[in-house]
Amino acid sequence: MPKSEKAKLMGESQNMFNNKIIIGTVMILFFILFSVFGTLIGPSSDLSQDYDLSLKPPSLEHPFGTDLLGRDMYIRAVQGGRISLLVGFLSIIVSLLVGLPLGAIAGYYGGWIDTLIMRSADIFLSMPTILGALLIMALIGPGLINILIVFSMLGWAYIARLFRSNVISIKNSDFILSARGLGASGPRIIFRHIAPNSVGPVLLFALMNIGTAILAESVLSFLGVGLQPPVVSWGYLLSESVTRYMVAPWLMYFPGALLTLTVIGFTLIGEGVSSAFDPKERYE
Amino acid sequence: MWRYAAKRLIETILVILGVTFLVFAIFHLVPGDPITVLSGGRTLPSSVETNLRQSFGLDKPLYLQYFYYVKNIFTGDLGMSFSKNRPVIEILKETYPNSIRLAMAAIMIETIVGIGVGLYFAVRRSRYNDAIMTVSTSLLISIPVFWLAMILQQIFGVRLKWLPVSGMGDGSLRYYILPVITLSSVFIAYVAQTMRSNMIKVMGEDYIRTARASGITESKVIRKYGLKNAISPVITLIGIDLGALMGGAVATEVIFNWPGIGNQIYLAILARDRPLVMGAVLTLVIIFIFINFLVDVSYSYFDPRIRNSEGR
Repeated sequence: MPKSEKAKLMGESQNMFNNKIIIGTVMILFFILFSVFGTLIGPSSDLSQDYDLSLKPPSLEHPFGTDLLGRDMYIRAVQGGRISLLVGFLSIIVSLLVGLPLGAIAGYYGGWIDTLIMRSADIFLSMPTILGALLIMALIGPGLINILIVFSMLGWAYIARLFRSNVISIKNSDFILSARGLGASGPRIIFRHIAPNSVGPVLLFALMNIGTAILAESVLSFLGVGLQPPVVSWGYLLSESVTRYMVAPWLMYFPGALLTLTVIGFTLIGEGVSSAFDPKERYE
Repeated sequence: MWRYAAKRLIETILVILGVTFLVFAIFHLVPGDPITVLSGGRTLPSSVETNLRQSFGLDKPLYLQYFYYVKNIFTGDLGMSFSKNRPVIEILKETYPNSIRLAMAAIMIETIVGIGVGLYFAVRRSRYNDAIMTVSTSLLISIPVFWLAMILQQIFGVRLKWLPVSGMGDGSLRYYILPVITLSSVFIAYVAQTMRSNMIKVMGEDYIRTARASGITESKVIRKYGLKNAISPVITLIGIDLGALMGGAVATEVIFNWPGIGNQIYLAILARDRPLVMGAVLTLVIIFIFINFLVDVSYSYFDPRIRNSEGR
């Protein structure tokens, strides 16, 4: 392949990957803003029940229609978005808080503690996400906090395994050896020297998984083991619509579309990032 | 080969024991008497309660209780369902075959459609086609399956009245169409993506150029030299999904009211029938782990690189 053609191809495809990341980021920012400020721009702003307005299709006054109790579905969708996004971000943060230290300890110290941590990680890694979450949620009961507990139980292992291998790959570098030679303690070396140099890819991986967490929450809430009212998410709104969507499809169109578009945003970022890091893909 | 299989088998058994230990631990860590937890707060007849206490060995020390728990699981004694008043294992035997039928149909469709679509978009490349591929696969991967199901029902069931909205009816093909589309949607996208990117890589190899140069027709180059070399990661992917589908498809079965194990679990959750939920889900998790073991070992049979690499 002539050089100019190759360069052109590379430039073009890189451009496309960047486009994916940009489009994904814009979409997610939009939905974050929508969830935070959406109630301010809607035509109606209260959630009062009004039986005269029960199950009305979308109108100018109620752009997403109304539910059985006559509540405005637009406001409920905005509120659902807050919780869906909150669950996505929080569950990843909690997974990181558990997984990073465990991965660092396993990778840095090695030996029996490494075996113990990584064998327990295997158990969680081999569990199917939805079934595993169902099993634990059925035992500990529904609720926002419990969802976060379950997601971090199932999520920490990926983080720990990834971070451990990063830690192992740099723990024998010269700058770590010199820090150790100067008498730095284990935790200090991990926090000051190893972590800043190896945590990046793990954070990126975690960020890309927010969409997966949002989807998983929606499935759990849909199956009735996720959130409990008055805390609603998009998944919860969909589960509420189950008995009525045949006659009132707007109950599921809007929350479902918002949910899908948000997850697409995260998927696009993930695809863009992984192709940007894979040099082979660029020559495609 | 056998050494690798034995090693993986031991790992698998340890993981399964680990999962049972986890469930046991959570069960006992949840505040409240285990029997109250199990019954979901309802009052049980005293004979049932005594029976339960005995079968869990609640008067014995904890390590013995765990032993009984594991023994019960592996002898097929998963307890009694409160809502149906029947052994959990019977309910499993009754409904699981329906789930497997659905899973097999889904695997077939995602293999055929996924590979076909992936091949097409790998061979017919253009800016326009690449964009279609990106948009449609991202959409299929991101869409919550139960929402996709609701939309399909709305279009083909309610509006057009072409297909039944739910149930299994007499088990004829019509009843399978919508659930199978729903269930296979995500992996059609994954298979197509993997197939396409692998095919593109393979078609850039030197041996493809050699084959073309020696005058073999393009369709034969694609079939014999391209496809054969590009397909193995796709097979791996389908194997992964086989494990996942055997673990049941709770959301899809619920939406279509399919008489399978997933739907049963959902109904048990609604009825606060904890023994049925715990027994059924735990069984599915164990089946999932075990199928993954079988899939792993069969790859190592086909691809010696796997069994020789120590990297986990």
